[in-house]
Amino acid sequence: MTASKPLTPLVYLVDDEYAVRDSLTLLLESSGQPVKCFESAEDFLANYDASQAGCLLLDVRMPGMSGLELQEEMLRRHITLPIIFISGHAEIPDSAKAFRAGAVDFLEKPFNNETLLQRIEEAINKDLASREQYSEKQQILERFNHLTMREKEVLTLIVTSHSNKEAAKILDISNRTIDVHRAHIMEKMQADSLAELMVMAMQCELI
Amino acid sequence: MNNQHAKQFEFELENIFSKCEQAQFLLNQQHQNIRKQTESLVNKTGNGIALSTAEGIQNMIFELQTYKKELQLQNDELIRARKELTASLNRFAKLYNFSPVGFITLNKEGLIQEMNPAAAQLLDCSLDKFICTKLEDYIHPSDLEDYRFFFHHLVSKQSDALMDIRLKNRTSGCIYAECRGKSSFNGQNEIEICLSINNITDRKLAEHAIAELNEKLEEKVLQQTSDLSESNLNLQRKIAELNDSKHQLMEREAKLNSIFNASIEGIITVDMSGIIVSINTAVESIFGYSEKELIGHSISKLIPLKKKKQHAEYLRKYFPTHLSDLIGVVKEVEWQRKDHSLVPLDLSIAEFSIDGISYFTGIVRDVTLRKRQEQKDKEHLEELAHVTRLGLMGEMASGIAHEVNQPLTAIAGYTDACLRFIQSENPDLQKIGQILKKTNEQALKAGQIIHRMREFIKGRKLHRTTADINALIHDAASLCAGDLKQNNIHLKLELEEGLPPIYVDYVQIEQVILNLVKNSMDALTVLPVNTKRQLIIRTHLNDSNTITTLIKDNGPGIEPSEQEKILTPFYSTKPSGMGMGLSISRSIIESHDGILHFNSKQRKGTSFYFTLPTWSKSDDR
Repeated sequence: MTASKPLTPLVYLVDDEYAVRDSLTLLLESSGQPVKCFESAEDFLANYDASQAGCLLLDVRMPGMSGLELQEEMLRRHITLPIIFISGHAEIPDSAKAFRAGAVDFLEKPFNNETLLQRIEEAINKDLASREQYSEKQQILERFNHLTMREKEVLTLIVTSHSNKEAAKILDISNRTIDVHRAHIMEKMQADSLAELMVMAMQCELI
Repeated sequence: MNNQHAKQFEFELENIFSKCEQAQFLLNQQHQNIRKQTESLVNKTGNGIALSTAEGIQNMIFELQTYKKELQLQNDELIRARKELTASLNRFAKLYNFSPVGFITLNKEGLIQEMNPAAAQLLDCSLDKFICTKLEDYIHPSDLEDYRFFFHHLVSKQSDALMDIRLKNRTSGCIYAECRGKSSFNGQNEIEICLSINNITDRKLAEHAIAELNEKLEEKVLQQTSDLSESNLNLQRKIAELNDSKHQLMEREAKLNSIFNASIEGIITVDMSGIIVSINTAVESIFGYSEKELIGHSISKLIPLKKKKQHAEYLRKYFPTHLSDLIGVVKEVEWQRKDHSLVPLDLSIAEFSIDGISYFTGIVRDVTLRKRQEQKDKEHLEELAHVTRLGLMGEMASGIAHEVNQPLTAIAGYTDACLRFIQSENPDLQKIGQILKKTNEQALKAGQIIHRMREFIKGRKLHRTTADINALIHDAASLCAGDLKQNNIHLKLELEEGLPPIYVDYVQIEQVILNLVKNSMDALTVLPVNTKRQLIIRTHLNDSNTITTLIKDNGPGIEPSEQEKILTPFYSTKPSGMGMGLSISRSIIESHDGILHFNSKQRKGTSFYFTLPTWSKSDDR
């Protein structure tokens, strides 16, 4: 995965009801928000562009795959697009399930359009943030992958609260060698401090 | 005949005998006269010759000549008598020989002296062989005693006697004879017996035959008497039986009369022209007329005025044939009381005839109470249907809400978009107009759904109209579209085109369809997530002028143990179910003269179907 393209965030709208799609498209476009509509979950999955930032406005009840089923499927496919559910009749079990699976919101039709626009903005920001976070993590992982085996071992020991001495003892090398490795790690990982290195290690799920 | 002949013959013989006797007597007398005269003459001449002379002699000669003459005359007379006698004798001999009657002459010892051929024939022997044989030998042994007595009587009493006797006969075995006997003295002064024997075998046989016939007759008479007495007994028994049954009949009549009058059903008998012949007391209480006011009047007195005119016509033309058609069926009619109020009746008719004249007996039952009850039942059904409709609507509320929320969402979106367009610097009015039009459509759509729902749940009077079943199904489907979608059920409509109208309460039938659809939906949601959930509604026209509506799902089917119970009230397989849906649906369909049934196969699905009669213009409902 490469860094995010400079694309305008897009709202994906999945609803089987034409009138709903039509009116919400008009509304969003009038507020300057580009929209892409799908009349079924299957249609969405087939045409979704993973590189496109944005959010998903998703109807709960639809013929074929339902909104909640689509949410599950997206999780399985690691599609992190934030979801705002819109439901004709909100039922608590549905909304609870949606929230547990990470939905941004669960709006009952008809809803306040200001709220909707607000939620969309939030969701897009969330997506953008997560995409940024994701790319940062990818960079760190890339850097981490550039470390030598010994360096990775040393890094693992350092971030797990071992002193240089202890690490040298464990790896059966001299303190001096540890110091050299450490300097190389800090440089390769582009870390200014140990604290920063710790955060990166966490990103790499070493701790 | 024979007998008569013989008698006549006998009579003639007697005649001849008596003449002969007379002649004999005359001859004897003359002989004596002549003798006397001669003797006196001789005496005279003896004296005269001696006393007188020539003169005396002369006289004497004269006397002698006269006497000679006289003698000649006498001789002539005698010759003539003798001739007569000979003729008589000849006649007698002829008669004797040719007589059909047998004559036998016996001496006093009973030996046969003489007999004629008829007698010989009777005794069955030749003439010459009889002489000096005993007649006894020819007598039948059993009559011998009688004969001897008879013969002795003849000999001793010397009088006539008569007896019937049986003679032996070689050829015919036995001859019956009537034997008449007469004893007399013959020339030698000996007693001889003359018997005349008459063959009376035929008579006897006839007599026997008659006697036999008489016996038989008597027997028959006896037989018949016994028969008669027997039949008499039978008759008496029958009379007793008849009396008995008469008694029973009277008892029965009394019973029937009491039933007739105690019956709460009115019984009216009319003749062929519709004139009331008899009524029972129930008729009086049903119609408020007294017996006098009805008997002898036309039945049309009990028919409402508006119908009376056509009824009169009807009575005249079709009454008897029409009544015959009504025999054996119960018809609901509305007749009129004395106070002109209408009374609903169940009418059944029976026909009977007395002496070839037909009568009709109408039995009428006042069904006012039942009608009222039926009305109540209908109202109850309507109330119950309403309650269950509310329940059904409650269950479907989420789906309907979803359906209403769709257009509302669209409206909210459209209007907000419009506002934004208006607030922009150069509002595109045309675009705004288009959007507002869409908004309007969506508002109407929402309104329609709500209207339909309100129609469905509001309490109302039963109201039947002609309707198109397919349109009705479309409407019902629109009410449950939300639910179907929510439950991911695919509804397929297979509706036959060009169906005739039905005459129904729209909402009630819609309720039945929704109820069945709801049941199917509940069944289908049990299916695993990835199974296709299919619901089919199908209509088609049957030959019998009914329309069948089928609602079919591919759900799990109904358990056999539950199939029997699901149509009964308060039975439900669902945790929250009232158990009224199907039972109400069935009541509704039945109140529309239809039937509701189902087929269910486990793991294959369930089909519910109901029939409704098609509406025709001739229906007077």
